[in-house]
Amino acid sequence: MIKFENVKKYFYKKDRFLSQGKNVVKAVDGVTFSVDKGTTFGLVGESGSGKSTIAKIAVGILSLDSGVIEMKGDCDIVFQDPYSSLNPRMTVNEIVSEALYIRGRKKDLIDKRVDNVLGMVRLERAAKDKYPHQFSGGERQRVAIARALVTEPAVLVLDEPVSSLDVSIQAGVLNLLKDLQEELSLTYLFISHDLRVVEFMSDMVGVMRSGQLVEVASREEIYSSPKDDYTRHLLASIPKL
Amino acid sequence: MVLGIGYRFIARYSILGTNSEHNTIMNKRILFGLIIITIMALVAILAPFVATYDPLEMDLSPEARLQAPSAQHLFGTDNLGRDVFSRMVYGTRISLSVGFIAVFISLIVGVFLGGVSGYYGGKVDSGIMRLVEVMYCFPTFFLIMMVITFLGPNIVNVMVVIGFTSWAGLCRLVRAEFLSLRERDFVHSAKVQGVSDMRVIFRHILPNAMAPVYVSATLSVGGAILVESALSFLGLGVQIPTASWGNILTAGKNYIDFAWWLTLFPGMAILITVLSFNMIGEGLREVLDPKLKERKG
Repeated sequence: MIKFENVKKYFYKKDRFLSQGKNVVKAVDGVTFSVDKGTTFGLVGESGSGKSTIAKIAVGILSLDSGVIEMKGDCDIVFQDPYSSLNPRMTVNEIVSEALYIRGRKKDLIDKRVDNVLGMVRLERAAKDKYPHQFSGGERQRVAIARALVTEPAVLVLDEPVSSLDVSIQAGVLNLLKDLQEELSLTYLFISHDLRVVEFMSDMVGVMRSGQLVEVASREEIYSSPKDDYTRHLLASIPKL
Repeated sequence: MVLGIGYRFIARYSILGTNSEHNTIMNKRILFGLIIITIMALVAILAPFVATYDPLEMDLSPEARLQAPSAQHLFGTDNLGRDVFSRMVYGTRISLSVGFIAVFISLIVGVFLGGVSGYYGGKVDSGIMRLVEVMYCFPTFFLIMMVITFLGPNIVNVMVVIGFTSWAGLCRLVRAEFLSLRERDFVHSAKVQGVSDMRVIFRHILPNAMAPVYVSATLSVGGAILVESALSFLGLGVQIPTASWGNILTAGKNYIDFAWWLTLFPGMAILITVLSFNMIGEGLREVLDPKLKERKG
């Protein structure tokens, strides 16, 4: 499980010579929510609303200015763009095994674990010796998921994990994520700007706007009886198929 | 074991290794440059077998001095009756080793300082960048001349001094690469997984920052050879009687009116070598720079 309590993160623009005033961007401005073990918390909002900042704070890429984060167990992250999230000069085996290797695990145990997680994300064993550029976007994202799973984390932060994939491939990755959650009772913090994807994935949904959570409710409530004006506005903008 | 480590090192840091964007690293310029440099390198390594005479053997008899090129003396003889071809063959050793070793030194200093600067940023970065600016402020050649005058002119000093005065450009280049690469998601991911700073720098960032470094380093080899020749020409480089292309030129300049071979051949050797390195550098830039590729379509 994971818990954010009144978390704040402000970015200051540097004071330049002769610049006027101070520029403060309140990327995350007092955010509180919690995610139960084995469930998915979906975070929606427009770009610039602070969703990704929350993801980065959750895994420690960014520090927080104030507030408290509680987390039980390890936490790892899957990024949006699988073209920049995999080191182009490392093989899949090197990418996936690194976290174990730097923890000094034995080689045969590492090999076993890597085979294991690659199986979980439905990649063939032959993938081990290939480089990221030899894969499609969807396969790359599977490699990124395998890398995140290799240390058996309790929480996965999914920062727009399917936004850069073709729609035809999105469903495959989303289903895979759901299966993995069930199998390993993972807790997800699922971030997306796509309300339909969030609806498919989440148990609870938080709607973000300029650094604040304007509404937090169960999926059913958000999508059937939204309370906040902004949530309604977002829902109205879903293109009808 | 050693082979394995060597293979992995090449795969990680070389342009020959696996790389997504560039399937081929060959083009005509690189090929041309490589052929010339390979010949030069073979001449340097096999100097004792290529040289037709002892490069230091003098013959002061009037008919032996300042002979024009002939079958016996391919490039003629100098004012002390020494065979110019043999002296130039040994001079190749000097020029190439100065070029490579000086650039190797500047590569190590530049990559290390640039990497630290770009990775850590903040005060470390400003400190190193001020140092770079100081280096840029000196007229490098005069700085080299001054330091060599203090340390004493010999080949080792020349290599070291050229190396330690020419890292600034590389440093800036590596810093810029690190600045952009450290914000890439694969670097974030490594940090999230607890990978140490040193491992992030050498395993994740540096291998991806090497392409422009190779271009710049290749171009600098030509530059370093030119500086060495100029220093030798001024008497601050390799000391006579040891032969280097620069000091053969110096000895020849007094006889330039009638003994053209004393200046033409070493001059051509310098020109061709520097040109070859520049060709390789430019060729590599063409192959490795994605922006250039786009423009060509």
